[in-house]
Amino acid sequence: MLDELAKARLIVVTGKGGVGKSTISAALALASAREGKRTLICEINTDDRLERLLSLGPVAADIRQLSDLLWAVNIRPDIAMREYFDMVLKFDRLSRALTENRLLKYFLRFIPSLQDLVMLGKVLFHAREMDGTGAPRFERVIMDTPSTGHALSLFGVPQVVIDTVGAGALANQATWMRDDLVDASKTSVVLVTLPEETPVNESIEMCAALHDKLKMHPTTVIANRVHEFRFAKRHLATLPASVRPFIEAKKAMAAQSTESVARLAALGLVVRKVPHLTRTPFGRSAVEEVWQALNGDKPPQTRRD
Amino acid sequence: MTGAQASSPPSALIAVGSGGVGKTSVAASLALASALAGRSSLVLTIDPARRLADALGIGALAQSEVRIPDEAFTAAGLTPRAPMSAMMLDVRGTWDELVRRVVPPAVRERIFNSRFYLSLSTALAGSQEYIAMEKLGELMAARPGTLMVLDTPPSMHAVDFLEAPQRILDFFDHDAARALFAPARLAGRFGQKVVELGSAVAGKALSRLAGAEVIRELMDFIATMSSLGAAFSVRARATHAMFADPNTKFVVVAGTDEDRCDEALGMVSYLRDHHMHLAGLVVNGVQAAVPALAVECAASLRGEIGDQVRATIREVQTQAAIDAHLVARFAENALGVRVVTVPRLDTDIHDLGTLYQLARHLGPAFGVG
Repeated sequence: MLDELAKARLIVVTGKGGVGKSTISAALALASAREGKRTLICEINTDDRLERLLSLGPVAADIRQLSDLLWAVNIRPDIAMREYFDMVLKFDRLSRALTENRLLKYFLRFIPSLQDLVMLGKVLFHAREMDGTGAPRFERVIMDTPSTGHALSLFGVPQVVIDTVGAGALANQATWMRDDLVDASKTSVVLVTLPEETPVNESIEMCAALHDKLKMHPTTVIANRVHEFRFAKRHLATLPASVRPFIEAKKAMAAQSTESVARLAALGLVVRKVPHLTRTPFGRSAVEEVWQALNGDKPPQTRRD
Repeated sequence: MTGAQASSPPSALIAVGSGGVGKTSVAASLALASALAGRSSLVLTIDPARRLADALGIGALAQSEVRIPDEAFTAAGLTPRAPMSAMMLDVRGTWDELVRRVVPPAVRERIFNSRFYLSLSTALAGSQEYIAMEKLGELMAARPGTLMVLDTPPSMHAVDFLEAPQRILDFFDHDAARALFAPARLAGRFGQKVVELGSAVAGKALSRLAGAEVIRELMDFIATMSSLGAAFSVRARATHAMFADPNTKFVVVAGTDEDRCDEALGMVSYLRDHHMHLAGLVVNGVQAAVPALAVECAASLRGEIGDQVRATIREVQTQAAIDAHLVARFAENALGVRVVTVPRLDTDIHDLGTLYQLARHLGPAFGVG
């Protein structure tokens, strides 16, 4: 596992749509299991990508063991809701009343983002869950954050519920959920981005929002699909016209990557790079390459401890 | 006259698609194409990237309409033949406006002050989408000759967008609310109301979840809102009518990410199944093939430089092949919907010049330029 994430019980992988969160999450999960840690990887109510990225079989709404130390789940709101009520209200008659009574279901719609709360709650629950022997059921939980809507709204839901509902079981759950999220000893946040102007702007904003609004602690920023290229200027001029535009374009992309990485370094997080890989299909072996790049890319000394 | 121009010109284009595919850029470039061709346009966005927002001049101004100044056009070497405007949707502000329009003054304050209203207007699933459609309807009624282009919140499923009005309506006009709030109830006897829910157990469960006081407030809020059900219902019907109008057309925007291909195709078939009008499917960011001349030339180069050039060209060729395969997949599975490809740009959209790089491909294909 990456040094800065080695102690985390919950690793949350965030970033805007299309930056490669699922790929990074899969790479981290494989590395974690390989290291000997019981690992759970979670998707949140999405079309499954992990089956293709991990190539260890289907990922479903119930937790399934994919390999010796790796489990996976695609968390669905209705199932998470049912599990939540079973657990919180602790007896079936009450739980059934809530999920089956359509009038009650109607009321529950007014509790803001209740679906989001129970899905996030399931992740956090598994991140602190103990087995019968007093050991953690999962030594590491990796959450592949969804990209729909505002990227960070999911993490703000516990506070919204606390503010709206105030007292009672929901507020109690929301409180410990928020507390675990902001506890740097429990939760580490990884920001994934592309090394281009707008994605970097958005990552800087996201990092600020995580700190200031959510009181969470990003540890690592991963620049995905980095271009590297060295081509001396003097040779550029001698290239035939038909190929020159391609070299110029690649050079420009590499320059943009370098500038982007430099801007990300100013965030004070550990910066890691994954090179641009054109692989089709993008499956397990590509994910392994991503891990090699992440792991081999030793970060320079950063300003943080 | 192309096939696109032969059918009726759209009065509204609604761009739907997953996050990160360039939906906002596509929406803005359609508005630009329209203005360049001589028809006034307005692009309504929800959460634009800062650089695009700056390029359009909307920046931090929520809800005010901003006309793109002539200087922005001339700086990009473009000549608009009609005005183009941009607007950033203010979800909370539009809810407030809606409540003011629909709710009698006596009841308004209670709603505005309710803790549930604060979260409902922003956190409720479908809220953004509903408000976007409200705003669109308002704008279309006010300016019939202008092309409205709506950028929608990113989602995996077009269903989120299309079902939003109905979901919001269910909220206010639900059988459950009507059953609960028969005339006898207004005395506010909490315990009695809860018993009506079916069992004392259920009432206890609710109170355990959220505390009795909160439940009481919620009941009051629901009672207030459900009395407005009829008024919201009228508006929701108008929105439905807007969707059904053949001049309201959907544009599904997809990227070149293989993963999200199914999401985009899912949106196409969902829209089709629900008899919505599809203007086309845009595949954004397609890498063009490397010309044969460049490949031959690279083959002839010597030394380390030759190796570097060949490696670079190979990378581009591989990407172009991947993208071509994806475009073919879209074409095969798009149920006859026009597939329009937009080339990969070297930079992000930061001014009208770069926006025009998209507009010149999209305008003709969508009958807006």
